[in-house]
Amino acid sequence: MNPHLSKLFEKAYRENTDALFRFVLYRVSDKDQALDIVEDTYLRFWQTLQKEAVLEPRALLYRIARNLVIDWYKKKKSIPVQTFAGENSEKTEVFMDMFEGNIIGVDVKLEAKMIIEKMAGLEPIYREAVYLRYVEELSPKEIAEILGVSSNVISVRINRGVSLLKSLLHI
Amino acid sequence: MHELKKLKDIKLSDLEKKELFKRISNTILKKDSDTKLSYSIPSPFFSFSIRSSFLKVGFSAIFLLSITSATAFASLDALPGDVLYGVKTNFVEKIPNFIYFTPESRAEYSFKKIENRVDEFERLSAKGKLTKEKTERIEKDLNKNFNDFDENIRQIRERAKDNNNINRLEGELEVSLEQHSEKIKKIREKEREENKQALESVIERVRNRKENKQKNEENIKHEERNATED
Repeated sequence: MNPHLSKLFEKAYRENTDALFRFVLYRVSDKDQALDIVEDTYLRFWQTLQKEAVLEPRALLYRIARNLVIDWYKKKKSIPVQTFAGENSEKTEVFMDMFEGNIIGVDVKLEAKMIIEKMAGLEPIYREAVYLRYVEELSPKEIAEILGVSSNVISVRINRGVSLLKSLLHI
Repeated sequence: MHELKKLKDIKLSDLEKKELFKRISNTILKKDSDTKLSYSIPSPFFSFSIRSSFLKVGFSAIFLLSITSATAFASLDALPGDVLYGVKTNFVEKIPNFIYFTPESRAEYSFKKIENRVDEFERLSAKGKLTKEKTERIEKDLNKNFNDFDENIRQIRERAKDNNNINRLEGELEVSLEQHSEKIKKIREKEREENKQALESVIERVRNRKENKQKNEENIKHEERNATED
């Protein structure tokens, strides 16, 4: 066993678990399901660490989590891969229920609820880029690595997504 | 897009994260029993302080400031031979130089430092700890302080020709040095032979100043007398 890998894994867990949980929860709208997917994400991350050198642990974690969410959709729901939780009002409501009972205050809760509802109005490709850029504050390069497209494509998606979201938010 | 950051409030609790980590590490351990993974819940202070680099810098600055202030404060009573005496003369006493901008205020501060040196000499003598090395150290610093004082007096004279202020400052210094030099002379009488020359520069300066002042006064009187006769 390489102690360096353990340290790397522990560091990655400390630094990314909240963000990964949000990322998955926003798509599956179920806390237990989100926790299961995050658990699987870390197990696969550990396997990858043992096989190869990982230069961008955060990007790899998001990539694994995203693929697991897509697998979950394929297996459980039999719905198109590009459809995400925000488009389903029932799922969004489940998400909100969990949201209310969690750690955030009333004001934030109402604002966050409104933002999630407005974000649901965006096409998935724009929503994902905007989410990763402005909620998780990843760079376009990191987002490009996660989604497997070029940085330019991501920049275009972010710009269009922001314009659409602004019009939805009446900003 | 600032509003989107509010979604970041969605988090797992520390306990939930610990539980999740336990599940993950148990699964890994089943496959590889040699692996050792650990996750500890950070203390509230740790998580508070690590979140912001500004806070880290702030805490470091406060810490350094506290240490510096405490050292500076402790050095105020330091005497030659003490570890903190260098801090006192090379650091603490130089800080006010950034506050005093006029030659008058700097001259007054130099005067204060001259008194400090003489006071150090007297305290060392009273404690029976006056040595040749310590005396030389005080004399060296004292000469520096005298030079500063004289330089500032020269600047006052050049800039404003403010003789009243110069007379006041020089007069105060003279009175103070006269009092101290009497004490110094008495201390010298008690000291060992090797310390007899102690603070010779103080006594010498007092003597010279007195003579110069008398000459100046005589010159001024002479000029006034001539002006009246004319």
